[in-house]
Amino acid sequence: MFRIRRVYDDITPANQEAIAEIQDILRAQFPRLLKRTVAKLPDQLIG
Amino acid sequence: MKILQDTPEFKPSEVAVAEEVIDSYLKDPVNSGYYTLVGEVDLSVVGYICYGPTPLTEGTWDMYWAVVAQERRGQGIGSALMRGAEEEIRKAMGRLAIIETSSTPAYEKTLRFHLGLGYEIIAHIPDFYSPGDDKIILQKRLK
Repeated sequence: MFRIRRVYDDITPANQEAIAEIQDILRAQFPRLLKRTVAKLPDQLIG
Repeated sequence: MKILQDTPEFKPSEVAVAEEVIDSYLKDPVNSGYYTLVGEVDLSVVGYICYGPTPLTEGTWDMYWAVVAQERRGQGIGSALMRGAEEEIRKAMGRLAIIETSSTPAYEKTLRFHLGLGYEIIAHIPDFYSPGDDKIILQKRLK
């Protein structure tokens, strides 16, 4: 089932997972875009 | 915003801007000024849209990015995300949605997609991105 939801923060596990999946989509489609950005992701989520 | 139907290679300047948007959002999702909606199928993300209020305006919002997973394209997910964002903007008393895109052939599908959703071309800036690569600005009045 398709649904749309707003991601308000990166606090809940569900939102963390959603952000990671967004990054996966971006990594697959725009490899140059994420060479640096993906690497920063874990630190930013923890912070 | 550029919905990239054919995954064209980004220019270095586009990469820098994209990273700035994403990094800003990830550093502070609540206060970044960027809003994000995700489309999910069975709890798995299949696309997302990033938008936000235009600074120093009243009720004008920029649509920055929308991306749909390659295997999910052509299923109406991009349209649903756009309409979802427009609905959220309306709830926030937004009145105008603005999209900027490129005039190059790689973005023809993107342009048609937006025109199909009711956006109108309101400005065309020749050679904006680079010689021969114009900026096209589209607008939709949200009622």
